[in-house]
Amino acid sequence: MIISENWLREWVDFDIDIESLGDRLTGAGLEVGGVIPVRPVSQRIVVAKILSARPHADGNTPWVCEIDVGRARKLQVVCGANNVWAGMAAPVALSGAELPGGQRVREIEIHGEASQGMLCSAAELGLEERSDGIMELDPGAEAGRIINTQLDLDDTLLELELTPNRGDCLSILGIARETMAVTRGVLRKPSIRRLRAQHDERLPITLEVPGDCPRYTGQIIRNVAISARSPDWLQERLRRSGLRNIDALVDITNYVMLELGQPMHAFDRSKITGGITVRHAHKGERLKLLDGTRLRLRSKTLLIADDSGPVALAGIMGGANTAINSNTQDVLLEAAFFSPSRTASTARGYNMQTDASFRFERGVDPQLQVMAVQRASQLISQIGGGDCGPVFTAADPRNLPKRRPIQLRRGRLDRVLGARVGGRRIRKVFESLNMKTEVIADGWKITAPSYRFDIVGEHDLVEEVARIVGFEFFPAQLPRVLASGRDQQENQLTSDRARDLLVDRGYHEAITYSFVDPALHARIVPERSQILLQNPIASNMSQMRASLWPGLLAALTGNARRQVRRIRLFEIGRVFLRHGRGRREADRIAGVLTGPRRAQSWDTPSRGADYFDLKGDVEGLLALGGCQDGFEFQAREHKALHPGQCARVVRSEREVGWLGQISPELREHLDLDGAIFVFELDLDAVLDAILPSFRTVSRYPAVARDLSLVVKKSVSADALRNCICAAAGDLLTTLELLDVYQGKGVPKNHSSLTYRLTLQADYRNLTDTEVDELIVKVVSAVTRELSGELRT
Amino acid sequence: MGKAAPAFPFFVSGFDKLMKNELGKRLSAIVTEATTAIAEASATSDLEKIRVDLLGRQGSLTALLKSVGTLPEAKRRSFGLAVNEAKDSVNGQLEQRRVALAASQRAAAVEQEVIDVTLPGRSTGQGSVHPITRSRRRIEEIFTRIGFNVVHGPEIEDDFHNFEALNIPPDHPARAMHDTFYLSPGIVLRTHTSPVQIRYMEAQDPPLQVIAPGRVYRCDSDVTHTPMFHQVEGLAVATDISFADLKGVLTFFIREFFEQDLPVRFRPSYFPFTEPSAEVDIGCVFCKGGGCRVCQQSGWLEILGCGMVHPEVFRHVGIDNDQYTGYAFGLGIERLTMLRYGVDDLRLFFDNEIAFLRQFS
Repeated sequence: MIISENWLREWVDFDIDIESLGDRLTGAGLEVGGVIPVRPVSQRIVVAKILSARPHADGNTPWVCEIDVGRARKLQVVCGANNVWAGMAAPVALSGAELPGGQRVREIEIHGEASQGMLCSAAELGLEERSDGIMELDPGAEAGRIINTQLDLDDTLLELELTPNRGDCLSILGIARETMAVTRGVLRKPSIRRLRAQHDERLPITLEVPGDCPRYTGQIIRNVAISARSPDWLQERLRRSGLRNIDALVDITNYVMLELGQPMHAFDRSKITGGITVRHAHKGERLKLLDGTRLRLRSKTLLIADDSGPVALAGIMGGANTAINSNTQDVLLEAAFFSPSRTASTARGYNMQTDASFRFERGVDPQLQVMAVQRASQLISQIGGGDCGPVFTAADPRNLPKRRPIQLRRGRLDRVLGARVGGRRIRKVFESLNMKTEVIADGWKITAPSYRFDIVGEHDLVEEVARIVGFEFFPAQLPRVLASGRDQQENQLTSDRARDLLVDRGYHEAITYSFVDPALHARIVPERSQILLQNPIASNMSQMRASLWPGLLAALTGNARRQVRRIRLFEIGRVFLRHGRGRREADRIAGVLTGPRRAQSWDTPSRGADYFDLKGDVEGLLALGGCQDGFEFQAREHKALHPGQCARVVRSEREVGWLGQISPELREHLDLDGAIFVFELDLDAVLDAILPSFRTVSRYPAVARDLSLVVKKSVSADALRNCICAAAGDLLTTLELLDVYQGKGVPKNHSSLTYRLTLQADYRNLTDTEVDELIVKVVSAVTRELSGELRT
Repeated sequence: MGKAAPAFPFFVSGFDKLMKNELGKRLSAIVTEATTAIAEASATSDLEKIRVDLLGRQGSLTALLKSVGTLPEAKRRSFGLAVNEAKDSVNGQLEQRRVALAASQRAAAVEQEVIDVTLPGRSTGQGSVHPITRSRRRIEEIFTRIGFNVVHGPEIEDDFHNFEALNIPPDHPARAMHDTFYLSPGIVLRTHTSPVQIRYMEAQDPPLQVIAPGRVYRCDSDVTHTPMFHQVEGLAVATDISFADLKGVLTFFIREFFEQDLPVRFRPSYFPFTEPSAEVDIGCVFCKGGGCRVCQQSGWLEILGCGMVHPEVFRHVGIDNDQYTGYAFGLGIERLTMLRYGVDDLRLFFDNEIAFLRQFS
């Protein structure tokens, strides 16, 4: 909200400059985002009265005007705009004036006609971005008066960023009240009085839903000069507050809203049939609004209706059919109190936010309606004339918001704030906020004024004390350590451990969006696991990820497009999965890699990374917790992965992840060259660790034997390994795969795998016979179970 | 060389004088010959051969030594001494030569092994921790140092935890400021980390002191907003937690995080779930308060929101508002990271460009 200093000073007397006021308001919770001077213009720009205007003989430049600038001698100016006429008042920049745009005005001759100044548009004065034609001033403006005075340009604007709890501050009056509290200034209300009624027409008002609208005030003004022009001062104030000038009547209702905080509406009286009813919509009712929107009304929508149907969406916008227009003679002014929650739900229900709904949602002073109508009719009669009728009101006092006394306990106040504020100071705080204060045994009883919707409990009073005394009053207590239980168990690694491992292996950590492109997502996860956003920010960010791969592959693609050849990225984050009829979240760790195995090097030929580079990193992760042997890699198929280079990771028969090369189809979809490898693991599986448990270290010699075993290619290394381990039993301490060979000397479709078995007993020496027997046992197990044999 | 005996035919002659002369000559010839051979040896293997020829079982010096016994008593001693002397001398020369040869062999080998030590080493390449993670870790480290636990909550939330329990009822104007993503009616992507407060208080009794870092989502995207970002929520509840504690903890945190004694300002504000509420500003880290583009000439940067836990929040989680007080705060990791490292575009964090990421390795 933007507030004019001059307007504010009309309402409150305070003796500090505007910058300091800005700081104090900020310190009291009304954040001042900017203090912006309204730029006064050159003193040589003055009011001109156009005495005559004749077309230029040349025809190109239309008007030659004779003007009065309050001097004996009349001046002549040539003007390019079309909207000039004899009798009009307009700003003129006299010779020597500098316009805000930097242009200097001089006496010149235009096609043989002397031009002794320049008639200005509002844009040329820096008041608007763009203008059509010369700015029109009050017809009665005094010729020669300096424009800065005429338009009150020696002013400053306060830009306020108000929080939603302070609906009472959405007006000059509201800011004036806060100014009073922070400066100990004096509020001075301009005189607003009831005008003597010149007719006695009232409309019957029925409040059908007093909970939603407990007060409705109206007044009929007859014979309004609807085409009257808003005076310069009013137009300027609206403009400075960010509102456009429309016509006198609308300008006045807007002015009252800005000044007092009461949104108002004006109906064309002749379009209202019978009385006014404030009620909920009936099924099937329709309403066309001022802005042309046609609504099918839903039940529970609060309406203003006459006997023939809806005429306004209460607290939000008036209807088109009852709107004032150039033929309007008599006007019905409305000022009402609509409940904040009803207005909010209606505004949201129809997705409409207006200046009116913004204020009603935040709470309009329920005592303000009569005053607002009086203020408006006062301005109307002052500007456009018209015959006022009586102000009439329907109210249901039981449903009006009430301010009950609230107890503020001294003990509570001190305990929450951590420092003691003196009793006199506290009473002063509440006094300055118009709160009735009564001292009681252990504190105070406070009653807030009607406009303070945010004061409902003791905590609100604590806040009032804190913000008016100022937060800097309260000391910063050094941190006290609160003894609290552990949150991390020893057999649970932190995700940072896994993160560091990958970083040290050359991976860059990525953070990708949790919502992904459905087209890519569908190529990676089964359709049934997809979770959709109802209101995505873009169609390619409309699904919650069920895998980290789409985000990582997109990041990989982005880097590849920037000519990065060697890419290693990983992410640790949530995925979102369907779970029965609900949803489940799981933390995963995933990586992608492509390009050379090592960074370009002077001594090793560059070789592309392959599945085993990837697997080495995965094994590194799985080994962190010390239970790597519990994981099994199974050759399985995955829709996103290459059918021949894809493994499922399983622990205790539970799937905990996948790794492999991405399928050629997916690679084509991404439009990338070169093999791309990916892995994804359940983070829990990686972070589960075993607590170390001591086992004796054998002091007896170990015996190593190498065995080359020939098996069919279809026998996996894992199967062979398992077979050897089972046959060798406890004496086998390590089993290393030394070589895998296919080719000469090995039958077709067979592989030879050379293992080194290291055997050792804890408490004795092994005998040669014992070792020989064990080796025979291993070989015969391999022969029996896997049809393998010793290579000769 | 064959057997030693044929080389010494005079042993069988038996003439004493001749013997003496012959033996003496022989000895000095052997020593002279050996000295030359040793000096000329170019490998340790040559030395070994020389040693065997002289001192081996059938070596020439060994043979001379054996012949000492055949000499007359009077000659025995002196000749024996002479042969032993010759043996020691040869041994000494052999050893000296061996050491010299070994040294020159090592030197030659070393010469072969000289490399350019300035060539780059073999490396797997260094990765990097994302700057958001880097900040999150530092934030966690600072708070855990003063007794906070780190907890987490779900990112898909229900209306109750994200709004209602935080004193944001359905028609509250604050909801409009949240730009919420919906999965279905009443199910949202959390718009802040504050629901973790609720979940934690539902599960644990005071006293408690936790922070909850994590991702949050708002349906908003422009130069200064991304639809996903990171927050850290903080919560402390005990019987005597005051606004002064809140000021102290946050002032401590800010100065630790920026490693500077920055000016810190608490300014009243509004959040539905705290009261009194405050926004915290720090003196601009770029212009030191003098006014610049980043702080919009104000000299201050807004960095977090906080306040005393609202009684409605306690009511929703069943904590006695009269017995306990507490504070809560929420800060944006992106903002802190941008200020800390001078990152000037929020969107860089989610572009995942390696050229950007590697700056944080």
